[in-house]
Amino acid sequence: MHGEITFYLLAGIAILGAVLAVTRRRAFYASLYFGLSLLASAGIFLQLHAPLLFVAQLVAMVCGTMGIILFAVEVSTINVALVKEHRWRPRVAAFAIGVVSLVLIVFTALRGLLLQPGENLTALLPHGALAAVPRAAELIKFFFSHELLPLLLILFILLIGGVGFRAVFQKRAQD
Amino acid sequence: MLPITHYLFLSFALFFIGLAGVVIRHNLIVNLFSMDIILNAASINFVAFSRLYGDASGQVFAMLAVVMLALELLVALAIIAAVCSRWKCATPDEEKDLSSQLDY
Repeated sequence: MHGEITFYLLAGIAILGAVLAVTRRRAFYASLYFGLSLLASAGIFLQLHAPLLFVAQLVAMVCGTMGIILFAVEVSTINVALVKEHRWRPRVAAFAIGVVSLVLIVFTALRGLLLQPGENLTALLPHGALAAVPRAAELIKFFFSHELLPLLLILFILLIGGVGFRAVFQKRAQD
Repeated sequence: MLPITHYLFLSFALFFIGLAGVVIRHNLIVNLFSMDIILNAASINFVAFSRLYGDASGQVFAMLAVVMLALELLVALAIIAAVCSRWKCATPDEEKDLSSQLDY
């Protein structure tokens, strides 16, 4: 019972923090709410008996990164909108998030009608739909091989390169 | 442990919030935060399934994701700072109308 209450509390804070981080216009406030969402996620990691991840998330993300981001955003005034952002964009984001949240809430409320006690969500899928999916443990062992590190490095470089290219070309097109 | 569907719903909600931020917002820093929210949702999924199956590999994946999140934020912020020092970036403060002065 206490576990459920803790989970709902942390999940609510995480979702609320993420929504507020995405819909704020000023990067400073967005970073504060983002930190709040990360803190709640760290609590969920702790609830899932992953104390190492809890500490890593707390130290690496919330303390280190958020401190640097807040310093950079506030001191260097990096309040970046590469093109002037219309006022309707955060509102569209908030509306889209609201619609999906409503669908989730309705689905969660009706789940008791759709499923029998003891059934999980896979009961709603067509019979045999998951037959081709290997077991999760085998899947993890397959991905966690010596090929993982180069793949992660490539993805990381692509991600950083994508941000840089987008920033540079958007500004050049604007100029 | 709570049913896995609780964590799946939370993960889906966080994923969609991040996706909406990436697609809709133009602010680069908010875009970065949105990507991190997506990765955070994936990490929650990894840890939940790791606990469900009693396999520590999911936690290792989540740890990699957390480290990658921190590095990505720092490097991308450095790129943004460099770009903004080279080309002047528009800020919401430049709008002169009264409504833009609202802090929200």
